[in-house]
Amino acid sequence: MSERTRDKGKPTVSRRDFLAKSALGAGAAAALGATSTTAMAADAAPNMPAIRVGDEFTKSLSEAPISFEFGGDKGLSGAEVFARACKAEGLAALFCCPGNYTVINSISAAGIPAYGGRIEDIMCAAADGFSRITGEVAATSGTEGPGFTNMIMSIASADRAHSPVLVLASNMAMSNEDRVGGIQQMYQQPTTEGIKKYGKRITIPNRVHEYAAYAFRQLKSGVPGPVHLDFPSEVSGARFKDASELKDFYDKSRYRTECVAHPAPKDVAKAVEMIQKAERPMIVAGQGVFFHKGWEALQRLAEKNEIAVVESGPVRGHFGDEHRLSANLAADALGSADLVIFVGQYLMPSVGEYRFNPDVKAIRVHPIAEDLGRNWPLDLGIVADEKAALEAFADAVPKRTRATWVSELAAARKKFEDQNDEYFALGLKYSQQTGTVHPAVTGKLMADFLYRGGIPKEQTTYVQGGWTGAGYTRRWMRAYRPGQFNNAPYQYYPIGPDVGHLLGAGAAMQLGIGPQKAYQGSPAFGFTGDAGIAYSVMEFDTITKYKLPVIMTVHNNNAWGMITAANTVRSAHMYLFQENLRYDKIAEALGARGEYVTTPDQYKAALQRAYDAAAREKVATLINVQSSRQFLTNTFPPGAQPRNVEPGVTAYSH
Amino acid sequence: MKRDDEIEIIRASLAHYATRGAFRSFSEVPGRPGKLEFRFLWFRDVTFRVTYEAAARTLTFVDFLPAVPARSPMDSELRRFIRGRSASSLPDHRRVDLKKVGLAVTNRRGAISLLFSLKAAHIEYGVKKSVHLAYDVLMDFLNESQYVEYNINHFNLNPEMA
Repeated sequence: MSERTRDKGKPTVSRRDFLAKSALGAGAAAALGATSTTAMAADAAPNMPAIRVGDEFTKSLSEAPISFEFGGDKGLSGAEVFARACKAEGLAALFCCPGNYTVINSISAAGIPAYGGRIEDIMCAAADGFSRITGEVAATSGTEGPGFTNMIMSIASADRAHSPVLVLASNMAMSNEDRVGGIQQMYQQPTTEGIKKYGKRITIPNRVHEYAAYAFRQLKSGVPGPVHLDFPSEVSGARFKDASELKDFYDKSRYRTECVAHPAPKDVAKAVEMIQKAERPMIVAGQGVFFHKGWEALQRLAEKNEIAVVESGPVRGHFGDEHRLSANLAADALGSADLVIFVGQYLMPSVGEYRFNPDVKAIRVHPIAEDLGRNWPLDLGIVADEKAALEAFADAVPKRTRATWVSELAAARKKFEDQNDEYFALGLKYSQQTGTVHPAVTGKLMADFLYRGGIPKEQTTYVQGGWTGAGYTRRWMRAYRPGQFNNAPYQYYPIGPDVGHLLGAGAAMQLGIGPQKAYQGSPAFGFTGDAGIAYSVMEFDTITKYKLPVIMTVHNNNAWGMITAANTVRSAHMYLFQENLRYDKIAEALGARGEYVTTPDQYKAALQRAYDAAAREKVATLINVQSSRQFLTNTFPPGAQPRNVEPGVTAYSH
Repeated sequence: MKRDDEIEIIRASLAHYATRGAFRSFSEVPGRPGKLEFRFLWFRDVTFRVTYEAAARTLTFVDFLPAVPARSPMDSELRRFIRGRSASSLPDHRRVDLKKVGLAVTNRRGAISLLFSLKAAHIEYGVKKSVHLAYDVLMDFLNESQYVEYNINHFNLNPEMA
């Protein structure tokens, strides 16, 4: 039931109607302590059963967890040994689809928060999205064969984002290998070649704990990345009476270390010398600063010596956009830097991909030596943990002011924001001309609501998805604290798993994990396109049944964003959808709220209603913002490509 | 300063950008006395050609932008952009000081070349500013939305990413 004030003569549904139907829905049930058997927030015609969360779902979710320890009569299965290790390692969450049954059942039984969804790939994206904004390890799982291969896009995306995602999948029985006797059989590990940090088909049952140790050693050390384990049934189903039947069964304090590399004093001295010689130094603070919790040291270093900071990578907020030394919005100042210090930049650009000048000197801090010097010639390479290096630099640099540099940053920020205002003014004009909403307007209004309205600007998290619309919205969205912004398509640029990333963000907010703890229960917002939503909209079922407080804006322009490539005869039809499709109705049919808007004012009102429903009732909303593909053409300049500069707020490649 | 010394400064100044990873596959093409020619990959791995006429102290980015019709809007916008790079409102480190290096733009049969007249006292400055200005054109001027197709057609922009 959409809230709409203008819908070509169709009946409208009021806020009162919505509340009457949804007040007893799943989200409201949680808020009011009602049972879960009441009606969900969708239209229910007479005699038509209402959408609802079943009793068994709620009962299952509220069951007490099990502590898997040896000592009982039955011992433990391989799956239970693995789940026990995951619990001991603090695995933060599991996002899965059925399959790999014994493993996912054991992980959930161990008390690790588990979310069961509809599409393996999107649940893998949820694990990635969760990891990106919490910095914690999340697992994903699917069945062998089709379930596993369905995950490939999001495994690759997690790999490019260097997310510590534990990819799990069952894989038939070894006893049946090469017999073509069963369904779904395939070798998984070659399929993830090049898109994982580590992988193993576990083939020796009594080494299951050893390989759990392998996995977490890789996930929690150095530069993170996905780890892929596949479990033949002989491993997950094996039984062990006591720990002596397992090889290498010992605690995490013995199979991995929390020790990290610290910079050598001579390298710190050299770095300080270079910083002091520089007039306009700039730190590129990549995701490693976030994952290794270096943001306080970063701020101390930057402020002590007045060094500019620009963020890069899939997650933003570890320095923040409004700091006077932030260059996130200061695109035109990037070219002025005479020294760049890459810290935690895991995926190095080549010279020319970042908007620094050709003479800029470069220091890079990285946890492992093998990547230093790759793509970007260095004046100084330092092997160190990001936090350790930033602390050492902050201790060693003298206090210094750089008034001219700070002024230049401020001027560049103003220029960027003035350009945004110009795009917004154009967008408003275009919106009025067409009766649809330009994405520059969507971005500005969403930013006004999240950062300049009635809620604290640090409260929510944001998932930036989409393609052409993203070129306008990304430049408006901000990060004021660590883990606030997930650049979902970062580097690999998958179109589609955005709802998965939002699901992961919603779970992180629901659970209050990592830097989200201070904002537990607050809504997560997202943006995607009408191409992207089609891949993942079914997870609104998952979002709704787990009562995740999320709001997704869908930029609906009736076409693939790449419609601009339809530049020959008989090509356009391949890029076009039916016009005026109603993604809000799909969300409603899945038990969530739907909003349909065609004007800026309607969008503003819809954001407020959606926020209220998410924050107070834990009911999710999909806002279908009707736009026009004509905005991508030169009839409406700047068309499909507003100016984009990396690194900083408009970045997505590195 | 002797002309030979100036030539060595030109060589070293351009080779410097190869060591910084900016120019790739950098090479000097053998030429007649008094004229240097360098070729290298830059900006999306497009081949660029730079010449230096020692007698006139002229450094030229030859056929820097192809397929720009004379008196076209793009030609005009480019000239306006380049004039802007010597504006007094820019900080010193971003401005081309025309007292130290002369600057001209030519368009021959649709190919834009950038000509820098170096001065004996400011050879290094002139080379550095020429590279920076050319880079500004590639990174900023061509980054405007109206040049997406131009980038696809002439500067290896992957249409999948456009």
